[in-house]
Amino acid sequence: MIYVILSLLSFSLLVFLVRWRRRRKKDLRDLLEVGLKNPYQFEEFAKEYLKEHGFRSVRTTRKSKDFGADIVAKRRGSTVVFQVKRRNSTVEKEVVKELVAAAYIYGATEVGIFTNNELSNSLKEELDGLKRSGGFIKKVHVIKNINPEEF
Amino acid sequence: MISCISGWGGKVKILGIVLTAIVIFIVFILDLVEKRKKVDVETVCRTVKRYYESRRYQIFHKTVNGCEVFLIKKGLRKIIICVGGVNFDVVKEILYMAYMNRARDIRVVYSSITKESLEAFERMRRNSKIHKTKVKVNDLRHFESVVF
Repeated sequence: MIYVILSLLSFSLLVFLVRWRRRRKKDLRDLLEVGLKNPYQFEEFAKEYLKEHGFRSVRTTRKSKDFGADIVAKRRGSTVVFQVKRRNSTVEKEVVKELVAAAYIYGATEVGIFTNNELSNSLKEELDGLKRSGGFIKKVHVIKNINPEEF
Repeated sequence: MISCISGWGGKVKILGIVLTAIVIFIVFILDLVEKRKKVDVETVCRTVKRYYESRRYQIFHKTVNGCEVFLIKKGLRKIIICVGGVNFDVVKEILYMAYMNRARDIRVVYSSITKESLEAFERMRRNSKIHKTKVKVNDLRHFESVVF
């Protein structure tokens, strides 16, 4: 009897988890669809996406005078600053200066770019340069080509 | 009695001349001090260049948004000195330059500065344990305490 109850409980838990995950994915997709029309909503989507992907204490910064960071989060004890770019074309290398400034100002050792598009080649080179320079920035996160089909 | 008065008058005359001389001297000194206090961006840039060139430092100069930025190098010692009006674009440029050149000593002498930039430097000071970069900020009149 006890085994039957336990199996029923496990099954219902599994069903609950699957449904919860599906609902979460649907919510994210809805948020992304709205976000692709509005940059601030896109930041909100990025915040939820990062929470879903292992980042902790994720917060968006103020809308203006944000010291070059759109999102500040924690990952394995390190502070990570993100630049969120909703773009119709590739993201250009000017972002790097903002990221470096934000890393200094927020005391971050990891930086990241979150975009719905591709990175330009010059930006990729700049990001490689950041990693190679051996400074206090230890890791660069790149989350790109975010689109509703992914969910 | 007459000689006593003329003696007294002579002393007053001398005293008057001495006092006038002292007043003229004080006015002259104050004028000099005032002239010395009038510091502009060009004067500071010239002083910085002269000072570090005489000590055989390598100086790289760049203008960002009207603000003069110097990267000064000698061996492992690297200093970034920024002179002029500072806004957040200038801050970004300085910090990027500092990161790429591994400079950990930033000095800012401003003729004007935005609230955002001041707040950024203040926050940087709080996080200096992480990036190990020191920032000194002051206005043009007190440039000597910053650049030397």
